[in-house]
Amino acid sequence: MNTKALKVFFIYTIVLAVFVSVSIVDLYVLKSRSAYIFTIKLYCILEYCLLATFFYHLFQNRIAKKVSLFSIIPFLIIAITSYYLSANLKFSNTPSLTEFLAFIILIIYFFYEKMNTVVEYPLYQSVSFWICMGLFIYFTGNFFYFLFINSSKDKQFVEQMKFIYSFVTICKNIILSIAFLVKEETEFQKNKAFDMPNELDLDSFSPNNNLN
Amino acid sequence: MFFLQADSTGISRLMFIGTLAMLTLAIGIIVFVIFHQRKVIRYQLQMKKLEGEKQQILLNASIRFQEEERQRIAADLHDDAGPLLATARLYLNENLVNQEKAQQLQSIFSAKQIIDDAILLIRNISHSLMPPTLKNFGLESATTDLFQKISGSGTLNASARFHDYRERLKVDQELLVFRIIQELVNNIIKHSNAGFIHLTQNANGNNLYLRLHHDGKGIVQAEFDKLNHSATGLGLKNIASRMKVLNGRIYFEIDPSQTYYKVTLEVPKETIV
Repeated sequence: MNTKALKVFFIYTIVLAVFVSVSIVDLYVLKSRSAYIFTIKLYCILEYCLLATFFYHLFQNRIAKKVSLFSIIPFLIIAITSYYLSANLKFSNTPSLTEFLAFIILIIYFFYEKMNTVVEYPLYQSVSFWICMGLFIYFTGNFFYFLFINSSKDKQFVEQMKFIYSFVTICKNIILSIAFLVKEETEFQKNKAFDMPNELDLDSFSPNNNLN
Repeated sequence: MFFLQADSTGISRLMFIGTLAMLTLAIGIIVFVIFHQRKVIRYQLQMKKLEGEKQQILLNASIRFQEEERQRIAADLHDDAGPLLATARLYLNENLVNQEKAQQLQSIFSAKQIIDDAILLIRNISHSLMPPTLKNFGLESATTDLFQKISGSGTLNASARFHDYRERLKVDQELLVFRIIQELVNNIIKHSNAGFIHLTQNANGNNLYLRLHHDGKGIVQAEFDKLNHSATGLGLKNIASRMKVLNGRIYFEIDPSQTYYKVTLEVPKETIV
């Protein structure tokens, strides 16, 4: 995995850690639900921007890179509109669902790209694979959780939701931990095609003149 | 929308099933990717094995070529130099002193001529092993010399032009490149029925480029690869093995105008310090 992608992911983990800390302060110290909702909203936007940049550095295909990076713009429009329209104390799930769907597609594309890349070591020996796997489990596992997050206030239902969210998040964290333990092999160097410098003069002769 | 309006138990069940289905799908995709990749790696290993076998064929060809070269030299020495020297010995036998003066002079003259022939023969053998022009003046002179000789024979028009050969390659490298050029030119003369051969040299960065043009019946890269894998085409296998030693590349193609064929060599430069 390239170092730029790894740096972006490292920043993402720091943002995640800050988010968890701020959320605890909001809920248990300040006891302010509106502050907590605001933190979630801000985190959601930051998470999308960072992960889109992460995939931008991870992809090899230029179009996929651009799609990943420029998807931030429509997401920001959706997120800001949705958060602006929703009440202060209510969490709007539209940006999260958009984010989850976008990243599920990007991760599937990442796997597709990996399948088409010639490598001489197994995919599970790369850091990027474990990070994407962790994120894939997280986004697919929590998709229905975020879809139904505002559906019911029933205590038992909320408990079940918390269980699913916690289970999936723990799975993600375990997988991400594996990512940092993996010893990555060096990338297999493909044989270069016979690409000669264009400016090289090797045809400056006239066969007809030569014959005379 | 019906699902979103269902009661709490319904939503709960739906959420569980949905989450389970999504996780199954995700794990399924991951497992598929891993298994597919393992298959690809296995295929690659197989390809590597085949590549190894190809290298073995090239090595065998190279050894066979060396053996043939030794046999040729042995035959030249045994069949040509041997009888010549034996004949000279006959002329200079012990009876020479008992012969008449005129006969003695005639015998010595004949022996001298035969020894001159033997010297010339040995020189030719020696030159075929290591051309003196190449050793003393480098690839440019040796190649130009070779092309002038071919052109001088009158059978076909041959010319060479070196654009950028200010620094000589190492002697080993020059010899290998020269042998490749010789082999290619031999093949063109023998098989292509060409009217002209032209060699152009240029350099870029750390690479030396040589391109041979000819208007005869040539081959393209696919044919070269095919011949390289077949039992025949010893000369081409030698070219391939020499290119391997040089760590360079060779490419056979036909010009877009379809009027002449091109062979391009790319050799990483190892210059004399």
